[in-house]
Amino acid sequence: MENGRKNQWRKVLYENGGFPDNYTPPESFLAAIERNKNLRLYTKRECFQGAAIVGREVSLVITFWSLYVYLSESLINSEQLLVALLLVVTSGYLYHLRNYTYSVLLSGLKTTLFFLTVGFALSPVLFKLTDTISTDTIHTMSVIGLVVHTFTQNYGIHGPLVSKSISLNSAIFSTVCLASRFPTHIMAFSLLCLAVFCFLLVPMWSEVYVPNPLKSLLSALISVCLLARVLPNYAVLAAVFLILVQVICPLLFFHLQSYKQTIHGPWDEASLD
Amino acid sequence: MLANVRQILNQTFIGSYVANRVDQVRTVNTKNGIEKQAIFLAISLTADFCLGTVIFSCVQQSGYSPQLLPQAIVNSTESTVENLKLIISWLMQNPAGLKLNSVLSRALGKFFLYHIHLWVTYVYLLIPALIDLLQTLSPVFHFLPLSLQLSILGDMLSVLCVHVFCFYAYARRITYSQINGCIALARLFAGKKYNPLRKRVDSADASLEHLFVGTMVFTILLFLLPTSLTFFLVFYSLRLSAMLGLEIIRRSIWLIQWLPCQS
Repeated sequence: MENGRKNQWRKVLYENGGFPDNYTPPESFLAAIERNKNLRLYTKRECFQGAAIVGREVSLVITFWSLYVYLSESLINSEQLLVALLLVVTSGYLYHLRNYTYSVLLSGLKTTLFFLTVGFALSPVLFKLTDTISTDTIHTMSVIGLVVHTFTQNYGIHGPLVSKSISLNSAIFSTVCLASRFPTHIMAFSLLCLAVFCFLLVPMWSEVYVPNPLKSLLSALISVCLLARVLPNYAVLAAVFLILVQVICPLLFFHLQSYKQTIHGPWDEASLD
Repeated sequence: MLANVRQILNQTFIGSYVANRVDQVRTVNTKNGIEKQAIFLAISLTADFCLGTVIFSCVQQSGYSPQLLPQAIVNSTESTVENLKLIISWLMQNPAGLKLNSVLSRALGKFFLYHIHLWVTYVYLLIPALIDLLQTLSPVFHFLPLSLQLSILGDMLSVLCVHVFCFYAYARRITYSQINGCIALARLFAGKKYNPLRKRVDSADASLEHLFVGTMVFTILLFLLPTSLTFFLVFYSLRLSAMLGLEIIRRSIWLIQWLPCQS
């Protein structure tokens, strides 16, 4: 104390104010609390758009599985499938021609031709690979592969579980498992082409065209209809799951944002921002 | 050069017997306590010869004469070949309920059967020469030391079992290369690769073609692995039993030739 006046504590360490070095006045520590600093609130549109990416991926997997069931029950011919894929891919390339340079499209075409050649060369090996293993085991393994693919797919947010290689590889793994259920090797080859289309070409498309919620709902509807033709019970489950993912979860997320409450203060770890 | 010759000789039983005795005689000549060593060596050699004669006469009395030996060789070769063929055909058709890949097991089985066919042809060309050699040796056989008789027996057994070792080598190569391929491609599956410079596993930036072909080959190798593993295990157990028999003979020869205070 000096001059009959209490010294004011200032946060200056090179001046000796008569206070000990580790002194903090009680009201200056907790008063520095900040609530909900740097809070990012998502609009309804952003929530639905984020959910649309996930919904599109799930409906793609469901479409793939239903087309496999169609092929194995001979509801469609392998030649029909190949012709349909060819038409879709050609129209997609012609549509892209407006936006992209020739060289990008040419390299994409080379990659696709390479995959087709390798797939055709390996399909006689593949369709005899798991001959002696029972169908239940094969179906279980491919479902696990597709689930792993869905979990590790890149949905626009970085996370520890996201890995492009694992997702692509587990999708190809489940395709190879399923390809052995066919009696001829041309059917195995057509399933492989379908897998190349679904898991290689469609993600390349989706990197460019972000889906809006209506389009992803439309693709969900298409996939559920395809599934309902052969497995009606599972189609109901798939419809429920897709509605949950695309409609209910974003609404819930948007509503629960109002409960966000974070606390920041001088006790936080220092970060170099 | 002498070390190389020694190494080659040690592969066969007769050669190692001769080399061992020569070593023992040579050590006696260069050591100081010459009487003790010489006495032990003389006792060992005499016991060898006596045991040889005694045991041979016992064996001859119970009905096995050396004239029967060539026929015995031919019979045992044929029975070994027949049993191996039975085992391989059993492996070709879903053994013990195991789910082996039919194409690969048939291919491997045909490969091994053809190898047996080649080997049998070779042996049937060789057997008359062997029989002549044995006919000339048979009066001498009675007076050979026991360890030399056992060495001859061991050599004949290893000639019979050589194709078991061959099959084990083939199956081992196939299985090990498959396992190594699987492990390397499993790393690619997870997006990593092995860095031999730093001897650690790094993350790999693989292009789409690499990932695609890598996954297909990984799945193929993985599903073909149980088949080659089964063949490998069967031939490994056969090799183990053959090695057991040969090792018993080797140990008994060593026991007979053992000298105390041997450097």
